[in-house]
Amino acid sequence: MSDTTKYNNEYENKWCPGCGNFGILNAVKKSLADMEIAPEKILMVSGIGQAAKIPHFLRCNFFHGLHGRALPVATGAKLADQDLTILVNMGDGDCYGEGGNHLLAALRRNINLTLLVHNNMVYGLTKGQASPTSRHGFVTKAQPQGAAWQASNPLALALSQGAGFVARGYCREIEHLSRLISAGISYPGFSLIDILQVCVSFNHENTYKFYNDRVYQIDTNAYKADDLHQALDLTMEWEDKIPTGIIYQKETGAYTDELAPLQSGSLLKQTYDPEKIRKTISAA
Amino acid sequence: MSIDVTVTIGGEAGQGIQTVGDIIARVCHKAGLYLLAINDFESRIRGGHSFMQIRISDQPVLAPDHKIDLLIALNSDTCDLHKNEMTETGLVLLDVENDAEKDDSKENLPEAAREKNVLPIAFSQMAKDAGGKIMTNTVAAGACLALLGAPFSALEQILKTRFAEKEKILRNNITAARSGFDAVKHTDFDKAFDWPSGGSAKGRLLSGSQALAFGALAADCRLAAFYPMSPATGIMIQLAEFMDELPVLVEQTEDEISAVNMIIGASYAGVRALTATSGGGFSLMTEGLGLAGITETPVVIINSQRPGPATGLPTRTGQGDLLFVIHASQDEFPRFVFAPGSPEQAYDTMIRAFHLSEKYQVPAIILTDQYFNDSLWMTTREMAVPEEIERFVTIDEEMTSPPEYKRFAVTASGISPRALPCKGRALVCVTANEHDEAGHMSETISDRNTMVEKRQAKTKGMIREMKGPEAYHGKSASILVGWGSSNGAIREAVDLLRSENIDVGALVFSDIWPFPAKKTEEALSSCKRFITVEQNASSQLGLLIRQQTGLSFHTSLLQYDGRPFTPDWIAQHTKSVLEERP
Repeated sequence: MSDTTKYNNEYENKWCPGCGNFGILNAVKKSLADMEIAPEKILMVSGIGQAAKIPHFLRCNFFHGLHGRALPVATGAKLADQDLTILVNMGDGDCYGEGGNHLLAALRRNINLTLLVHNNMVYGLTKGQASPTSRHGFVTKAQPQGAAWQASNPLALALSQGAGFVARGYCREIEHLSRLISAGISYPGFSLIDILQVCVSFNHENTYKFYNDRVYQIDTNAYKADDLHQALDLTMEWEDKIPTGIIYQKETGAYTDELAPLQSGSLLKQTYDPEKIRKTISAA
Repeated sequence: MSIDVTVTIGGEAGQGIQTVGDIIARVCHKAGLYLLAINDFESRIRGGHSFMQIRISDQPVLAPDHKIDLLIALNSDTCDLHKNEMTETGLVLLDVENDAEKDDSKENLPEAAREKNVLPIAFSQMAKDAGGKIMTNTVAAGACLALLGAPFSALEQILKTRFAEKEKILRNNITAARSGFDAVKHTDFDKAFDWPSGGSAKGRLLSGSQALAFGALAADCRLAAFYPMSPATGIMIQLAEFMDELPVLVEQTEDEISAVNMIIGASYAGVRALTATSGGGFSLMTEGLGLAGITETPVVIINSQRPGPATGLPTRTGQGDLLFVIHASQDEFPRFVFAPGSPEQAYDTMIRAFHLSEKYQVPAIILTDQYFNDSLWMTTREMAVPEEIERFVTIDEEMTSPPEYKRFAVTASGISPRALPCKGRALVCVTANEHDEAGHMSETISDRNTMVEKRQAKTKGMIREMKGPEAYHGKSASILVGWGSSNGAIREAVDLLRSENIDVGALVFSDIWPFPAKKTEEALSSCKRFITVEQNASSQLGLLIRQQTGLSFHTSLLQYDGRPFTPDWIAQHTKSVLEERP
């Protein structure tokens, strides 16, 4: 076992007892410990929601921003300093609802960020409204007749947008989830890890029992995760069996490698050259 | 001024109005004349009516004139649309198709060409003869410059620069220019003047957008994120030209919300970052503005105004966002708001805005407008680049105990030492929630009060950084008060009024917020009355002055038609006001 205690902090945790987020928090710590990334070398960026509070509950640098907007903040930080290791944590409402346009853009940019979506299929912070991933018919106080819309399939969406790394984890399988997170961090482009997270307070359908009965780990010996069509088929599995693991991974380069001004190093590290600026302005 | 000529080139969008204007402007500039060129266009790529108006003088020009001396009409509509703006001896050059089948009498010409001051010239035909209709613009420029009395060699020289390395195109253009030039050489034009022989350029020509982009470079801006929106896009296009040479990245985002959050992320990570938009985009950025406020992240946001609300007049100018940007985003937090009134001020303001934004860890907003951004200005001042950039960032070595670092440590000035993430052992923790000194969420009464007071405490230092309004004949009985890009028109209006012995001066604000109340009170202390001059419908600066100083404006001269002020409009209205309500 790697030692995760160095990531502990003294700030009081504010999640409900039994929340699926605890498993995700432990998996994040384990992955960081396994990868030997010191607390001061990690930047966590998050939006708003119960999931987005995660950076407060471990030792790290963090930017806990606005609802839906974690990806632009993280993108800006990565463009400023491509040497940063950035983990983005968002919930399903945060990422697939409020921040949907930013997810599409992040997928197309393929910028080297690791996005963990704590997908509990309900709005927790605002006490139980249907989320973009709630099933059709999901009953809440705001949708008393049941949600009339279709649940979104974020993994299929990501694949259709050219995503290079798409995975699904389960909050109770911490060891497996931590390996997925490590694979995402090691991936040179944008990685999306959708995490089946149980909400013990507001979602009484997608419970630990619901997932324990259905979740299986993809057999990495039999499934190579390099075929887009097979991957799309896997993202359609849900009712009886729910696959977890790396669903799709393709070879890719880093977005930051394509940008001319970043070729001499990160924007942050390059030096200010007044003489060159003077010449450039006068020649323009 | 012994020379003061206004030339307008009008036609449909896509006819090359810019090209004619650009050639004329460059010839005049090279000869040592001063000029200001404004661009007036509709929100369409082809058709409609657009024009470029160039005011040429032997003295610095600060604003467009209300009258046209020479109109180059690339279509008949242009004649009709500008008829009422022509001076009495003004001349119109109208492009007419020269139909060889018909005799050349005026009856065969369009109605517009039969007016006495209209000179029909077959620009397009001459261009075709010289090698292609595309050179219609060159023919028109040739005719215009001939009427102004320019030597042909001056035009030839500019064409050589423009078409360097394209020998055939250059030859054809010189032929085209020559035929336009010769077509009017026997026409008298009373605004023709003696061209300075062997004159040299008095300064450099640049658009307002360029001045802002250059200022950003000199301020060491590293990331510029934006979503395209007129009239701000030009700033980013200009910056993008430098991506090959300098460490500046221009990133187009999926929307304005992303743009503002992206620069906040970049700034948090340690680089200076900018976004530019117009009112609609700024509206989308308001929550992000608050994020910069509560996380105390320095960012610079340019809002290039156009008339609203909503889409409003997308390609036109206005000053309707002053009170909006001062108050934008919920609750309260300190911010800077600047409104530069000239290209020099815009350049300097960019450098100052980045500096002050980092010094106080607050967002800085720069208000410009379509008139300022899209006009071609002349600046005679060298654009100085700072030797060093002070970053106001702390590192582990400067801390007693890096693991104890608190991003929002309470200080007397309200400014906490700012470390960068992942650069040492100090953890940089930041949240959009109200927080404690360490940057963790907190809802305690004491943390809330402490943080509100800490943020507000910065205002004291910030106010000291603010300049009072710039005075022009500031001790006069009546004072015109304006802000931002109206600067030039207001000053010229003062000159016009004073030439008629009317005791009028001006105060023009470039630093808006935090409001320099004391300096304003002093500046207004000796006048009998002040009159606000603004491009909005409620005199937003006037309201702000009243709120902040208790001083009330006598009356306001307000224009909100989306067109720039002219000195004449301001002067005439000032006179009526002083006559009606002395």
